[in-house]
Amino acid sequence: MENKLYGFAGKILLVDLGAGTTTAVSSEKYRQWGGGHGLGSALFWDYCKDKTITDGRDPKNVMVVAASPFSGTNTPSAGGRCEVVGVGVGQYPVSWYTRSNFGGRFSATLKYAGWDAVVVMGRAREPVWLDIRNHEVAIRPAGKLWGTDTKTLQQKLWQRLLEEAGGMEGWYRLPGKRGPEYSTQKPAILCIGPAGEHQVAQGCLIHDSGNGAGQCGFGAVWGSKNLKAIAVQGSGAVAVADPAALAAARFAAKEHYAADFDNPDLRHWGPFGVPAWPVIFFDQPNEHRRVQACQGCIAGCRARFNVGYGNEVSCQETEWYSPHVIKWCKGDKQKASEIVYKTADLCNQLGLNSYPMGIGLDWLIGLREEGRLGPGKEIDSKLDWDKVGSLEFIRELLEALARGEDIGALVADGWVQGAIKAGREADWRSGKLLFTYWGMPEHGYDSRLELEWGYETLICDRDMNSHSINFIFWFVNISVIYGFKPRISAEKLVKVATDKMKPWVSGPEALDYATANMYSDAVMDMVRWHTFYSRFWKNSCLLCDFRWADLFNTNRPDLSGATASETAGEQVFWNAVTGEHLSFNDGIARGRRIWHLDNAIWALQGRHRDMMVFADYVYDKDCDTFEFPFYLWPCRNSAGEWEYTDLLHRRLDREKFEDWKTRFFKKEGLDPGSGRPTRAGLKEQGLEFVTAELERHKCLGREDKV
Amino acid sequence: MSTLKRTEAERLLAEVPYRDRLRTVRMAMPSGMRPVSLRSLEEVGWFLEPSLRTLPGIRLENLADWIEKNFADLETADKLRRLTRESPSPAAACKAAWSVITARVEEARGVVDG
Amino acid sequence: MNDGDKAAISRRTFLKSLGTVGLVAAAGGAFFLPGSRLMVIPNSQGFLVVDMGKCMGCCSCMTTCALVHHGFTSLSLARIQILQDPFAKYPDDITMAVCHQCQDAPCVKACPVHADHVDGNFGNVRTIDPQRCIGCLQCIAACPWIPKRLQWDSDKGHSQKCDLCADAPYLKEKGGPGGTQSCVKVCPVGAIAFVDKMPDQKSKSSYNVNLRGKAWKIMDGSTDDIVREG
Repeated sequence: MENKLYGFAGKILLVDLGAGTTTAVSSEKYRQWGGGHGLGSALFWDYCKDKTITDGRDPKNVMVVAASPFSGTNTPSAGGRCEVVGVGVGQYPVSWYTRSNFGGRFSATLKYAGWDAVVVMGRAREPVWLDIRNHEVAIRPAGKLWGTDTKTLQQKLWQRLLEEAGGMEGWYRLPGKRGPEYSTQKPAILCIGPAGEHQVAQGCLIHDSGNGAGQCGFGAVWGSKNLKAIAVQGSGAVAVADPAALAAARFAAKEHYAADFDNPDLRHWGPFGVPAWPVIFFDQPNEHRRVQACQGCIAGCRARFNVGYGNEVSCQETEWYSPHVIKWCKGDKQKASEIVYKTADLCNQLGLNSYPMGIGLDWLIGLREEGRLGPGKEIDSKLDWDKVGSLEFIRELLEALARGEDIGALVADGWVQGAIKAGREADWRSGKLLFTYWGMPEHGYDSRLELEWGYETLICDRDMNSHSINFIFWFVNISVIYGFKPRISAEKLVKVATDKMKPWVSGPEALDYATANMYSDAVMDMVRWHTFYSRFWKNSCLLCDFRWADLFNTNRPDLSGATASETAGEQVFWNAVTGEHLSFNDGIARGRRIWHLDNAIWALQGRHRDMMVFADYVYDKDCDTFEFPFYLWPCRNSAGEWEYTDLLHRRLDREKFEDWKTRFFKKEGLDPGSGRPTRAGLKEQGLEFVTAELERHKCLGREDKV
Repeated sequence: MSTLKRTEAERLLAEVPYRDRLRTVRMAMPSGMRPVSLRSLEEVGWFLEPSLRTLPGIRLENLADWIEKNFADLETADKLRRLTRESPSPAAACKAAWSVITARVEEARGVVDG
Repeated sequence: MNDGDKAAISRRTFLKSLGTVGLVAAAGGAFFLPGSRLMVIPNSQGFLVVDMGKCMGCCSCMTTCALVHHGFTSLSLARIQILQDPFAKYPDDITMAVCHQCQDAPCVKACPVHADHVDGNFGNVRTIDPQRCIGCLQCIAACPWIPKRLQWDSDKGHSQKCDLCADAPYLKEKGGPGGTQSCVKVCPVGAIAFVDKMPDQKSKSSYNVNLRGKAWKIMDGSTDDIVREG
């Protein structure tokens, strides 16, 4: 290989849809940011000329689809993930510069085609799609592809592209620098469906059958740019600095940390070592299925079935509609299963983010029960709400949401915006419409209990959806619910986990979620660690959130997970691929720098600390909304001993949380009065280059307050 | 032979108004805890049915109170309270409660259907 | 040679239409019968078999294969190919394409310069000497399977094929038959296995086996046999 920019393809593709041009720039300058999110933020900074915009559908918005040095390599549970960044759509009070992420094989294929990222600027005059075949790139008219669902679009493009490619039996021909090259792989396509085309806030990006960049409305961003799809074919390679070390680390990860596939420990604790198993939450259609994985994954989490539906769907999309379906099917799980999985397919085909649906639908049903929603009612809807739970109803509802019609017109700009428009702001403030932060639905981890989830979401830009710490909740609580003795004691668990976080945290107290400790500096340091870890290792290097960080792992005698380990830690893979000599904590420092760059963009968008608040109910009500049995978490008791303690029945104290924010801003060198960057703070992070723009927009924080 | 009167059986099969629904959650790792609204005993049965993939997140004492209040079914409520005390784990209690509720619904249906 | 010997040879030999000069070296582990144009191709001492119902489609086998052989990761230059259709029904959504190390080795037979040869030092694995390959593509054309189990390296201008990791400079362990095969070692679910018994050469599906153990059933998956060609 000629390219010795190890881990990087070496080029970034700039696509100016307004001008109809494509340009390649070197990746060299951006190497310092890693890949993924960091790379995306740096590119956004350079190419978005007006960073004050707060709606991603603004033509000035710049959107980046970014791979990482791990993309296309065999780094475990990292090779196929892809980051997207830009100003989002549908958040409240404004849409931030934000991010989303999806799995599959798109980022790997992009690298094999010779590109580290695609920067999408401007707005095309007519609908187009981007055709990338190795170094050859073309903006092509979408024609009749516009208006198709994501499955039809991909199947049509596959057929067209492979016919055009030609080749020899089973191998498709691609342009190479020294003559034709070949691949057996279908083009990797990232696209929007009708939801994106109609620019609704729930519009997302879909790749293959079930990979979606769901949150933050990036589908609407593409729709606003008249961009239907990016199709990539690549037959190249990713240069690796130390191939033997990379192979050895991958083997070590499997041998020491991953599940034994023939004899899996079904009571295993820790995300990396769980057996490959579909993360689906409703009875599968039948057992004739495979476990399916993104490229490079060490333990797949989706399935493909023999029934022709439900391929690759996973997680929340397989359960949000299920309570209604069960009722509709009168408990017939087999019949219900078909509706549940076809509903998930529909969301993917329409390019619709399913996450707000569970909570949103519950709210709408309540309004209907109260007589506020229906034909000619306060909230006009002509859908047949008597058929909630049926496939027929959900198809109509999802179509309406995707096209911004009927109830979809109300929430086209976001659910909180819809509630306000309907005069139901109180529903959001009270938690009746359970959208907790930034106009986004609660993730199922109450911010009054699961501190890192809420706190980190507020200091960032979206529902953080990062489970590294959250896995503690799951392994502990599931054990207790089943009556098992926890595999790891509270004292051991916090020690093993916080040992990985040093020197960012001083000790186990960082994971003490007891009410007496919930606003402490120790918890703040843990939140900082996790934010910065995620910003680099997960969102920039693109390690999968379902497998990393591996803080604890019962496959190991010492219970210590793969994270930061000498044989299979994040930095081992990074150094083998890139040839750098980065320590695990160097990576977290990079994540910190990336977060500060993001914060500079948020400042330009007008962020002030007063906007960084939860919905009122978080402060005004105890967390006892649901008939939930307990929420166990490691805490120190009055005698200073560690035990798993129920955190239910508490709320957040507004004043104390504001004080927590103040201390956080000070610790990060930000103006505590506004949360905005200061000149000195930026210098400390090596971000002097953003100072002038912040100053020009009067967005620099005051130094004297730090 | 059921001791239920027809009116009692009909009540056990009825749906409570939306405002009186029981709000609970289903636990799905790592998706989170998803709110579920229950309005009938039959739905409670479906909710409690053991699954490989999710767990009912419910406090059985509160379920018992809700059943007593909304369906006037003290017998079932007391059975649930006893299960809470005697079961080795919350999961086992839910599984046993599922049997109790399902049997009760079937009993009521038998009475109503004659 | 009696009739019995002839029959034994005919099962594992074929006519070679080249002269005898240099044939011994070129043919590697294969040899010509003295005074004849009959080439004897000894059986490979190792084979890869796969379970198309177990594979997750993560392609770790592919990237690791390219890594240990070339020092970079690539799908196009992986000697095992995993093909997928995300919308297709299980089990037809995945095809695992491994080199069969064929008994009659059509690719070896097709090579005009004996770059594609039998490596006697590594259990008679069929392999290609890149120094000798002239890039005529005849080996690829001769492969009877779809997709073709040999790859074209456009950068270097020669063909390549699975050598069971006999010549994998970035694999720390010894490769080849009796050694480590990187795809087998890396597969997270054990969907690829090395066997020393030659799969039935007459069957079109003999390289596709069932590697799903009891655990697969416990974890609510199917352990049914999947009969697929390839």
